Amino acid sequence: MQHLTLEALARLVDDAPAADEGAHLRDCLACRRELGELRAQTAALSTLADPEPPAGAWAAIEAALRDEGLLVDVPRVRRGWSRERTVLRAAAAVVLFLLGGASGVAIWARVHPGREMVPRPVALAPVAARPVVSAEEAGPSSTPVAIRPQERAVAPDDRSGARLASIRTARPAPTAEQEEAARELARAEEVYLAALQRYAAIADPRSGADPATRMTALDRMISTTRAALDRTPDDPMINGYHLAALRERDALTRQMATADADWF
Amino acid sequence: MEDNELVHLARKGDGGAIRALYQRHARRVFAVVRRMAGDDALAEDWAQEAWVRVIRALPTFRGDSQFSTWLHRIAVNSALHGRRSRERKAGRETAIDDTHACRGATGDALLRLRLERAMERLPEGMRRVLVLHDVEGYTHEEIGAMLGVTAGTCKSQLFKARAKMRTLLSPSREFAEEAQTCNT
Repeated sequence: MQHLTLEALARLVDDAPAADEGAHLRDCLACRRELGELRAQTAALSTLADPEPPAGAWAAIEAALRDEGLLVDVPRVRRGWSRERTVLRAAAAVVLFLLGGASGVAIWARVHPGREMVPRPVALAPVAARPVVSAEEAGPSSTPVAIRPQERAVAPDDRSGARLASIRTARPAPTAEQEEAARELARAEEVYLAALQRYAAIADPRSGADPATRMTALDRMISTTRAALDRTPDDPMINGYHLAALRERDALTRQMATADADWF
Repeated sequence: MEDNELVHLARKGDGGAIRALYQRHARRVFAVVRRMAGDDALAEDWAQEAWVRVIRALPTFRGDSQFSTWLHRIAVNSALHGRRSRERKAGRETAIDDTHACRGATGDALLRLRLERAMERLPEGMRRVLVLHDVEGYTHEEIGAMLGVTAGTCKSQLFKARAKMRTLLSPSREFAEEAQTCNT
């Protein structure tokens, strides 16, 4: 008896046998068995597991993609915040920041007429241009530490002109502790600015935030500034933030009362 | 996140999205090029080439098919057109290493390992067709189009490849040798 060739049997894995092939298979146990083995082999090939790529494969691919300029690190943009609107809100927050600070300075001058004002080491525009982060996201580590105004580091800019220069020369170089205190203050200011920016976004009528949401945000800002004032009661800028937030809350309270009165 | 969303970000070069796509599909891409290459080093080169081609071609991906299907086809093309190094091919008959562990340490793990080794020992033309048809599930028409041959030629290669595999896997080649002497 002549058996079917392996190639013929391999074809019969997929195709129906011709008449003579079928007749042979009916009579030949060896060919039937071999066809069964080929079918099992084909079935096993279709269920083979995928091998894992080598551990360092991604690094090589990433490098190749970077070489071609196909991969860049794109900063994540907060959903729902267009670039333009973020800039506008940051600008609005800066205005509020300035108004609050100016109020604090004015109050400071009225309450403490004989005391010297220490120039502020704050660069407003760069801070305002930073990505919007809520006060909650900034975390508790940004809580300011106790700083006395006279211990602050002197501002590096020369906007205060000759008077600032005289202060620089009259005082010794800041110690490491003073520098750290100044850094802490700057960090605290960032937190306040972020909170203001957040509030500016909520206060925007287009944001759809209701008055209650605004009130909650204001309450949070006020409690934050109050906590900071417990540590730095003499800081004019923080006093300014606090007063600005209180004023805003009073205005919102009046607005809500009017709205309630007109409800019916 | 769905593939299409990742693709949208990846088109802009977003590293996170590209990496996410890679992590999701790397195994499949590597599997097909590894089996067509027959050795690890060549497979790594081809897989890299495949991924660069994919990311480069993302702007042309219209979403008519699944991303995974499109990606797989590019991986196959990369393997088919990839450069082949004779030095690397020289090591083809060495045993595959442990990185080729099969999924699940079941009783048929040994069979799977033997299948992989046998495929590596096939002549290149046979291996391509066997991998594309029996492992990856492409039709003869699709494979013929990829390789630039007719479906009939593809079938003929496949049957030879299966027969060769059977010979390589069989502990006794008596039947195979006997069968080769038959005419029918």
